[in-house]
Order: sequence, then C-alpha cells, then structure tokens
Amino acid sequence: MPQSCVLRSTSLGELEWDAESELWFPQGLPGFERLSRIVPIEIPARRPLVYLHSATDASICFMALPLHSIAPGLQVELLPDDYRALDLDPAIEPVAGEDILCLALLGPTECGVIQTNLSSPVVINLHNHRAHQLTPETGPDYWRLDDSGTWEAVCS
Amino acid sequence: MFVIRRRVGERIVIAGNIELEVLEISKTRIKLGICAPAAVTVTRGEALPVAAENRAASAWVSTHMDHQPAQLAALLENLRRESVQAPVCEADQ
Repeated sequence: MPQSCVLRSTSLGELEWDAESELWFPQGLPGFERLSRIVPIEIPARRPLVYLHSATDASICFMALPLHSIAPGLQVELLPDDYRALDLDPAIEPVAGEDILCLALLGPTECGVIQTNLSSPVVINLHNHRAHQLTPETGPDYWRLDDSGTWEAVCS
Repeated sequence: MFVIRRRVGERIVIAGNIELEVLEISKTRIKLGICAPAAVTVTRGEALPVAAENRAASAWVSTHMDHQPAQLAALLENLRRESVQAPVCEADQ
C-alpha cells in the first residue's frame, strides 16, 4: 500500500499525496541543493500549469509549464552528466512525452513580468521519477509573457 | 587568482577539508572529483544564475497564489482555447 504523506503548504494549503508520486532530484535544484523530494501538483482549473512543491518544506514551491506549450518542437540537449543524473541509458535518445517530460519553471523579472529560461528546464524521467534541472554552458534562453498571454523571446 | 598545475590523480586541498582530485583529462574537458563537508554547496559556475532564478521563482509563487497575474490568466486561456480547437481542425480535414 502506498505511503501517504501530508504537508500544510504556505502557498497551496493542505497537501496529501502518495510517496510513489514524488519526484526525486538526486542533486537538488540550483539554489536548493538539498531539496530532493518534490511533489508535482496540478490544479484542474489551472492546467497545464504544474506546481512543483517541496515534500519537506512548506514554503518551497515552483510554478512550471510543459516546455512544448511554450516552444513546440524545441528539443532539449542532454549531456552525459544529465543522462547520469536521470539514470537514462546514454545509448538511447529519450523521447519527450514517453521517456521524459520537460517543464520550464516560471519566475519574475525585476520589473515583475513573467519569464522563463528555456535552456534550464526541469527534466523528469517518466520511468523512474528521477528529475534534474539542466544548466547548459550555452547560457540562458529567456522568454517573457506579454499582456495577451503570448510568449516572446528576449533578445540578448 | 592562484594558478596550479596538476596531473591525473593529483589533488588540491582547500581549507584543510575540501579536496579536489583530477580524475580524467580529455581533449576539451577535465573530470574533477570533489570531496567536501555536507554543509559546503558545490555547483557548476553556470548554475549560479539559474540558482538565483530559482530562488526568485519560489519566492514569487508564494506571493502570487491568491491573485493570479493577468498575463498568466491570459496564457492559460489561450492554451485552453488551442486545446479545444485542435480536434475541430482534425475533423475539418
């Protein structure tokens, strides 16, 4: 029987989930290196938004969107270290939606506009729930949301 | 900057309790092994801006749960409209 977990979130209220549904970040996330257990939460009225909530800290939560909903067709490039973190076979290219799910984290710019960095998505191995945030050497690829709800690439 | 030359298998010790060992050298990369106390955070340099983004993103979520930003509401409405329209386009073909 799956183990049930409960947490009173400061942002989402009372949360209850099965331990089996948790994502496991073996390296944590940049800025949250000790955060290894995260619960993905969907609120039906806000789909396809996904909340990534810490399973242990009531105050840590991220908002994310599937990468393909922002930039359809965008391919993520996984490096050997990424394959290792996700426990993927480097000889087999993972298929988005079947083997992996890529989520772009949403955050604010200094002027309050919603922004995402498409070169640093959270990648989830759908077979074992291991997850890892990419930090490529190529630098950020920022996209911002305009008032009409459309994403625009930020020219650097 | 302190510059030091090392070969594979050789180590550098920082502050007496952080050890870096050169594990492998290839044409364009070196592989380092790092042993550090649990309290010391070790990250790639390129992860530092992402760390700042993540901290800002987490703080931002907790302040925007009660009132969803207008741009986000517009985006979700657009995505909903697209997902509803998709099967209609298929049927037209």
